[in-house]
Amino acid sequence: MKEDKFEKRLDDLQVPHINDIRHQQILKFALLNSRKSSQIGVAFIVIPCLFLFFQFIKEWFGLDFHFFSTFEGFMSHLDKIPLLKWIFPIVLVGLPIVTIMINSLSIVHFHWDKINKELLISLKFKLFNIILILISIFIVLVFLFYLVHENIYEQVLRSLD
Amino acid sequence: MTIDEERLLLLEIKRDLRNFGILFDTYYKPIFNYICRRVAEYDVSRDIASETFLKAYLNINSFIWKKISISSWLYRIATNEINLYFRKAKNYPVSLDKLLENNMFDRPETDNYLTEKELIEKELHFHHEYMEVQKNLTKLDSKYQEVLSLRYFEKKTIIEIADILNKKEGTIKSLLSRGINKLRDSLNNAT
Repeated sequence: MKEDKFEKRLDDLQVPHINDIRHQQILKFALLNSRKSSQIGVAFIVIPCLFLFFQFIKEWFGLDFHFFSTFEGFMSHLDKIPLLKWIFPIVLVGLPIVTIMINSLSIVHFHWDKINKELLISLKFKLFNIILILISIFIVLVFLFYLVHENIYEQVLRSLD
Repeated sequence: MTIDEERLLLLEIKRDLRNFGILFDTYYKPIFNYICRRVAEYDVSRDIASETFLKAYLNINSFIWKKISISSWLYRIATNEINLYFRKAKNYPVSLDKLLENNMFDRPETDNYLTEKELIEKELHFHHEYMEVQKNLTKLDSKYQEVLSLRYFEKKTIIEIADILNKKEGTIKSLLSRGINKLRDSLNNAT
């Protein structure tokens, strides 16, 4: 009987109801956009990755695909037109740099602690974003190395001659 | 949302993940309320709710429709997250409110945050009897907390609780019966 009374009390228990949840939309926006940085990143590094892949095959295995030679010809053709010569540097180096930036922003959180005057940096472990950042860094480094090799190193050699 | 509507929505989400927003709009309020009634702290509830929906968002494509509905699945994720929070809180028993009271870290200062936090905490503390039950409920084992809160805070049926917790109906009934006794003893000892 005593138990029934207690159960009845629990059954009739008035519980709080929260209807006005203001943070809901902010959270929804963050949640639905959480994958966008990685999706954009993938789109941005597809062409540089393919370019490096076929270049690698050509250099190391001596396999020269017709479409790749045509593409390279098209690149050198654009290189001669003043306004359009920036297209490929932007696609091959600029977009991977943008990928590094947007994916870094999605995993790094900065907080300025006013009281202790400290900048607190926390890193969220999102594997896919980290992989994209590493691939993009690799692409940028390869092209920078190529740039140094093609321009500065050869100029030094020529001046030595 | 009916089972058929949930089934259709699941197909839509699997076709285009942006449709997860519909699921979010439908279930955020009940899930947030459930978490809030279990932990009775605004900041913790908000963290657990965001973690729950992030896990749901990341795993919705691998959700296979068997016996469990999407709403029960969301309650199950939330329950696991709440249990995880209580397990962690056992090891680190300093509550967020105490840290804030002692000025150990900055309280977010946006007007919306403060207004919402104050409103929700006012709503929680307005229900004195609930607060008393909730306080004593947290002293019990998590297996009793789960069934009692789903039964008496969320007004779920035995079948629904069995779905959410992935346990047999008989087990739920026996957990409820033992849980009620333990809760009554705890309340009697407290007074």
